[in-house]
Amino acid sequence: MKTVVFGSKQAGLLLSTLGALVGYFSILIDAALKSRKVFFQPNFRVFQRQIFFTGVQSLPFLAAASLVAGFVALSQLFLVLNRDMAKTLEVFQVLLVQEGAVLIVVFFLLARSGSAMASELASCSQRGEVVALYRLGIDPGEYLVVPRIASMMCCVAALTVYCQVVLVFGGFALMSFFYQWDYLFSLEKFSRQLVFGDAVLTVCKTLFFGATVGAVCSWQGLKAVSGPQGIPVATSRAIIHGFALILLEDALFATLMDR
Amino acid sequence: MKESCKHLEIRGLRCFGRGRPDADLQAGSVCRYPLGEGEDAESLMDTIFGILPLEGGSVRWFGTPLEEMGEKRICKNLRRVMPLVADGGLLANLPVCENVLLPAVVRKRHKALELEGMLYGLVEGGLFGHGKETLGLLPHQLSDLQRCSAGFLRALLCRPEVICFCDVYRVFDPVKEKILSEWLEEMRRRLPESAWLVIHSETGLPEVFCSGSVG
Repeated sequence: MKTVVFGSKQAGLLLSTLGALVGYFSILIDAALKSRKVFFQPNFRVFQRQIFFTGVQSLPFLAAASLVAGFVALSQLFLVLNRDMAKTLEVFQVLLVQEGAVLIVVFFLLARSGSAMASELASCSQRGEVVALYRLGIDPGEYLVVPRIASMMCCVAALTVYCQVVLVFGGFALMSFFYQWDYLFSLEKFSRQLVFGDAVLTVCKTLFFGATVGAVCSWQGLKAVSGPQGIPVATSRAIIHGFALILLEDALFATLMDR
Repeated sequence: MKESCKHLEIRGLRCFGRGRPDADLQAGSVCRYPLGEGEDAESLMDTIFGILPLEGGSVRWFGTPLEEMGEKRICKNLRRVMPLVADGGLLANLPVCENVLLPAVVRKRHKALELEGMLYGLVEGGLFGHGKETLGLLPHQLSDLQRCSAGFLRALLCRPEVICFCDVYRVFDPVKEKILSEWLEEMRRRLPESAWLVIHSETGLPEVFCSGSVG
């Protein structure tokens, strides 16, 4: 029988993962302590630029993705639940509007902007720009990291609301076209299910996820090793660690909500 | 001059396992700081700037030993200093204008709009090979001499107390070196109060530029 030995390779992997977790946490704490600096003029310009690249440029794709996802989910649920509109709306609200929308947005931003952020910071670090900033008396944490984490938090929160609106309004419009739903009636029925507490929790969740994506991508980018493999390795690590952490945090949120 | 008034004081610094010459920089002085074989100016500058740990000796900025300063205080002190490196130390994804303005805005010498006006005023006459059109370009679109001189524009806007001029001329041919020496004279004329630390590994321009002020 083959025995599995916990060797030095696995121990190294475990240690590096633990080190990375400590790194994400420390960069997050550092950014939180310096959060006021985001309104300082040069940092605010970086923040605005990130909002544009992360938030504004994602709008068309997210609108299309949400519209399709909303319609597909509603039509499938409607058929599976024996054309029971009330049940369809109930499941749709919990599964897609409350959970799915957040995950669609956060994974989309992780893949699109998180990878860009990690590779940009990795190339910054490889070109010696981080040291150059420090030599000029500019704190790289304040200038490079704080605006990126803040913009990621804002974008995930705002785009989740945008995604939810498109999911509901677009999905119901397509359902009324293909399945002859009464548009206003379905909207009114759906709005009666909404709970204020859930909305607040969703916003908290999005802010938390945004901070996680920002911290993971910034840390992996800044810690990129030199050499031709530094940037791709940092980018892929940022995506994989971000993906895993988001799922873990979502599970944690679900457990907390249960209690 | 009182010791606390010295801008930069280097005593018995050990770098790459070798002792370095001592240097005292005071307002208006120009100090040549030679490198040994196999040494690079960037690492030496990082040691003097507190980014790399001191192997031996002491560095004192504006009267305070480097090792007694916290990271925050070093960062604040570095706002009184301006490094000039061959590539200008420019950020690749910012246009030249923003690159030049960034340290001046951080140092809060003037309001951002005023600084922008000052910068456009400076380059109107084609100072250091820059014109209004080059300010909108990204660093990779500039010539090597223009990239280097973007650092000069930064220094003119920030008016630092110490300028750390780091082996810049090494990358240039004799023609460019001549242009650079003229620009350096212009810089000295415009910033007479600044102290210069010229880190170099070759003879030529530093000998001319630092005549009579070797540390």
